[in-house]
Order: sequence, then C-alpha cells, then structure tokens
Amino acid sequence: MWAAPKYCAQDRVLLCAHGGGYVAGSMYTHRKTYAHVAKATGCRALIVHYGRAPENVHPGPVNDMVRSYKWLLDQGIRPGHIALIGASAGGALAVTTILRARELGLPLPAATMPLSPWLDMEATGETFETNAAKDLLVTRDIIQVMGGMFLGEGGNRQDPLANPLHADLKGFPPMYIQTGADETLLDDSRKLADLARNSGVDVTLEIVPEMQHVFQFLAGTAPEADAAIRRLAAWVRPKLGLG
Amino acid sequence: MASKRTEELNALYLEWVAALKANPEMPLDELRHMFEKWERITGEPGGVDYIETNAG
Repeated sequence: MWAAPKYCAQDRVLLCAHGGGYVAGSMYTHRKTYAHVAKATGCRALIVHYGRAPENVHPGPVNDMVRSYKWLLDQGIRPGHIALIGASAGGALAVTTILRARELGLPLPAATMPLSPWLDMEATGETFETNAAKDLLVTRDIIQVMGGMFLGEGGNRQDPLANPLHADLKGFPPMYIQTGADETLLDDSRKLADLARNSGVDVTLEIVPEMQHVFQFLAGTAPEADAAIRRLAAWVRPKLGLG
Repeated sequence: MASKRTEELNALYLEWVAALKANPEMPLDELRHMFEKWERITGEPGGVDYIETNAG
C-alpha cells in the first residue's frame, strides 16, 4: 500500500514493515503511523503486507520484503532514495531485508530506522526482568511463542536473517533506532546499536523516557510520538537527499 | 512525565493482555483481529492518499 502525502517527493520512498510478532498486524494497522513519518519526511511510504507466520514461516517475511525492495528498484527508484523503517518484528525486517539484499548483490538503501525492534529470538535481554513491571505488553513468554511460530519447526534462533544480533553489519547504511525506555525489548535495541557501532556503522540509538512498545502508534494524538517522528524525519531527510 | 494521551496505548495493551489471559488458547484469527485495533490509536495525518498496489 502506498501512502502518498500531497506535494511530497515522488522519487523518495520509505519501505515500511509492519509489526505484530510476524503473526499479526498488517499494512492497515500501521498505515497511519508510517504516513505520519512519510509526511514529516516529504516522501512516499510503501507499506508491505508480507506473509505472516505460521502460514509464511521464516525466511518468508524477509523474502517478501526484499521482493518489494527489488520492485521499487525496478520502478526506477534509486537505492540511495530509499530508506527502510519497521516496528517491532518489522524493526528486525528493517535490518534483515538489507542483509538479504546484500546477499543477493542488490545495491543497499540509504538508511534504516528500526522502531522498538524485536531482534533476539532467544530473548536473552536483561530488560525482560528489569522492565517487567513497566512494559504492559511484551513478555519473554510471548516472544518465545511468537518466535517459535515465526521460525517454524526446527528453526534456528541464531540465524542472522531471523536474529540480526548474530549478523555481520559491516557496510550497512546509517541506522536510527528509536525505542521506549519502559520496554522489555530495550536490550534488543542496545545490542543492535552496539553491534552496528562495533561494525563501523553510523548508528543513533534514541531511548525515549517512559514510553511503551511502538509508542509511535500515538502519532497525531500524543506529543511524545509526534516529536519522535519529527526527529526521525529530520534524521532521514538528508540521507534521502531531501533538503 | 508522560502525557495523558499516552494512556490510550497503555489501555490498549492492558486490554490485550487481559484478553490473552482470559483465553490463553485464543484462535489465530481472533488474535489477528485483536491486533487490528492498533490503528485506532493513531491520528489520521490528513492530506495523504492511500493506494493499494501489487509491489512484487
């Protein structure tokens, strides 16, 4: 689904992956959130309705995302004019899509913006304990159940295309990770930022105080979400060659 | 301190957790239907056209 703000740059695109634990969520649940980011950035958003688990187990979702990325390139959109963005499981896809594109020898996009990313299929983060009383939704049990559905029988929880904390990120485009301080998944963001930094990637990690999982859903209603989206847009605009 | 408006997301998540606790074997279709409520808390940005397309 395209989200096309009026008067935006037609040749700049955010390629968007929805969240929902690879099992739920859709382009409809996330269309307004990504439209806010696109509008603030001044470009279009392509929101991908990738196949969900258990009907479409790993690596199905990442392959669907790569197909859409390649489709954009085939439409004549330059890779340097594309940025990825994804929330929760989609936050992982905002990384693994680039890994898979690199494997296939495709040119890489200009930037990526994982929001509250769920990355660690082994759920090893200490914040599952330290933020347990603050996070209202995500628990280790939920993560392990959804991870099992996503990976399918015999799935490898350390496969870099499912768990990019085991990936080689050398040569990756700039990355802006934005997450809530009250999340049990907070350590996923910290680990990704550390991995990216140690790989020489230009990475920004923003931890927004007192915020829940994918608080950016509150765009257009809560000032914290609107301000966060303005910061994402300000960061990505020059990456896409927008003034 | 978080703004009052963030309570909408908190309430949604508490509603989901309560529903899952009451029905731990929730069918997949029902779970997906529940998650579709995510979009309700987002304001419509205005001035944006949505066009469904086949993108690969």
